[in-house]
Amino acid sequence: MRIWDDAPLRLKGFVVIGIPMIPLVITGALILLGARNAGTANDYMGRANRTGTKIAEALRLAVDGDAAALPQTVSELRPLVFDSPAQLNHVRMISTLVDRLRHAPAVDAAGNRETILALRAELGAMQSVQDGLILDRSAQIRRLLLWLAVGGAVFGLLFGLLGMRAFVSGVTRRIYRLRVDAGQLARGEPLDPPYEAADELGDLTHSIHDASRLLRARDDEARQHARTLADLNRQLELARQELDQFFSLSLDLLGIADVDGRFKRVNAAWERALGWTAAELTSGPYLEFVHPDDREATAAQAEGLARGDVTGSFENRYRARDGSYRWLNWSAVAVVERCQVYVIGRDVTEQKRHSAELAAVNEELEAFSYSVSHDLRAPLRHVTGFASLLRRSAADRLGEKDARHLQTIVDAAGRMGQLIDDLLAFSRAGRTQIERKRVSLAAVVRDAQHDLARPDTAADIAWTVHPLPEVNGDPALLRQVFVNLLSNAAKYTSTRRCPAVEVGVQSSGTDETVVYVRDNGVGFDMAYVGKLFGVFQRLHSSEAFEGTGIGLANVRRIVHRHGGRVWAEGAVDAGATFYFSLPRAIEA
Amino acid sequence: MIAEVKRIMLAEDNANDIELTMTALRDNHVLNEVIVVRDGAEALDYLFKRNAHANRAGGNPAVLLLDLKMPKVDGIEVLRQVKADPQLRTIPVVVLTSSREEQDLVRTYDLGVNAYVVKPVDFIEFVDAVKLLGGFWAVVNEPPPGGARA
Repeated sequence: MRIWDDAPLRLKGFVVIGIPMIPLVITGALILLGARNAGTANDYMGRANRTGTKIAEALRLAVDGDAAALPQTVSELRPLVFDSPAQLNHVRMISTLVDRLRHAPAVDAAGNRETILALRAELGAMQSVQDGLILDRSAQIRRLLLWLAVGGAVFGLLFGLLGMRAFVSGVTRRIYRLRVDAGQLARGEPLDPPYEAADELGDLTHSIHDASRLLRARDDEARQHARTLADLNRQLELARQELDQFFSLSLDLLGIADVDGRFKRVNAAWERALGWTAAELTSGPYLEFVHPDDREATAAQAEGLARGDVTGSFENRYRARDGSYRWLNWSAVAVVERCQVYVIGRDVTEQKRHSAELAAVNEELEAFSYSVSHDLRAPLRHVTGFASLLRRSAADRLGEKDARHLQTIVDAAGRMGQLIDDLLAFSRAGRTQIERKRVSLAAVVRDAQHDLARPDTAADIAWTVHPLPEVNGDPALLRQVFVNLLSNAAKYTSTRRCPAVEVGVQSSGTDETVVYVRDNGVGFDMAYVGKLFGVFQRLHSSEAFEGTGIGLANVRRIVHRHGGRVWAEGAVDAGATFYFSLPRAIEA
Repeated sequence: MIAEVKRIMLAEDNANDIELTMTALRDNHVLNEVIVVRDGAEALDYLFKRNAHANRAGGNPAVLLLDLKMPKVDGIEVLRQVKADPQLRTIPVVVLTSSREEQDLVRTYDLGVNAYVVKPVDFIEFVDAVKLLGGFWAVVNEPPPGGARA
């Protein structure tokens, strides 16, 4: 019932309380009416009593025969019985009889007696009527009151039921639904569709549904958050496990130290490398494990770390359980605000030993070549020097053959000097550190052209130098490469009428630069191409073309040390092309 | 030019090299007196006027021709001490060596050598090199009163 539902509660309350009030009000009104009637009844009874008294008085007078007082009494009776026609009739009859008595002569006693008797009879009749009237009246009032009580009760009950029903349908049921809603709200279950109404309960229903929606949205959100959190936790746990495994399985020595010089955590690699258990390593300052000679440097590194420096590759010696010392190479970084140092160590004892051996071998080699350079050349210089002196001082006494022999001695010594120089250069090319930087090949080629072995031959050559790129490499060594290649080209084109040499770059892949030096010289037989780059390997006799057979070997060694390749193409009498490649990826 | 003709000092242990050097100097009419010492220790004694040379006459040599590989004290050490001494540091020092080793070059230049000449195997080239030195460092090409002494 739309209107009933939409009615505000105070109206409903009014109606629910008001409806049972209706019969009560009516009953009350009737009772009030009854009460007023009761007042009337009292008047009535008083009047009836007065009527009875007057009638009795009249009877006494009539018996006494006092006719003089009778009219007065009878006239007083008349207003008392105005509402009863029968009594009024009796009063009229009595008045008539009284009048007759008053006007009758006193002598007519018989007649008077008769009149008195009639008067008495009338008064008696009046008296009995009066009594009957009073009785009727009381019964009437009792009946009325009974009906009123029964009617009020019945209607009150009826209307009460009606109000109750209205209350149940309009309020109780909906409160019950609200209670269900509240329960569902409390349990976070979805609510049934709301019972729409415009009253306060409707508002409350809306509020509860709004609250439910809000709470469920929050619930969803919270669940989503919880899921996300759980995911994050899982990922975190995985990451932690990974890190843990990384930490424990690492072959490197991983450790976490505090800034005052103690390890807090070390991985298993330590025990493998040094023999100490993790507990032993973390029990005291780590400096106690460091070789006494390395402690100062180690402490300095630790101080640097505490200031926020990064240790890149620090090396010190750690005492192993067996008393020996192991060289460890460290990288470390500190998180200053957490007062923690993270270190990665690696046992480099073997490398150090190998490096030391290699250094010793290198040193020996260095001393050897130094000695070769000095001591081998000194006697050679003496051979040349004194042969020249001899030639000068004994020129007159020497025959042509003697002079030729002497010249051969000088030439041979000179050639040996050249060989020694080339060999030493070759040896150096294999040993010296490569110093890589951006190098303009064009500049290198220009330098090399000025530095050819036989500058006099270069003048006749038609040079074609194409644009050349920058490469990463050692400028001095690359210059040697070009000096060798260009000198070769100049040498083997020297017998040509129009010698031509071309230098350029092949457009090839992106990972390397391929440089070529092409000449139109005597060329070579491809059958012997494999020998071209060997030490002391020559494809031409010294008589035809001078040379020691070191130049191309040197080229190959330098290019290999740059990570590149060398190769050559050629044909007898049809020129030669020498190629070398330099990788581009080499870090400058 | 001031009247006093200064001496040339040659620190060289190898007799053949001494002879070749002296010949080259003479052939080029370098007439300064040449003091020859046979090892680094003697060279230092002479320069600092110690031991056997404690009572030697004359001042610093006009130029010091210094071999690197010598017994006792090598040429590098001699060079170091000469260039570290305020009295001697002004003497032009020419390293005469058969070495082309880069390390020698670097070390001698670091120590303040005035010239570095690789003794050429070819005697003619050697003569040219010495000639260049002679012209360069005001050694005398005219016979001085005392003449040259080996």
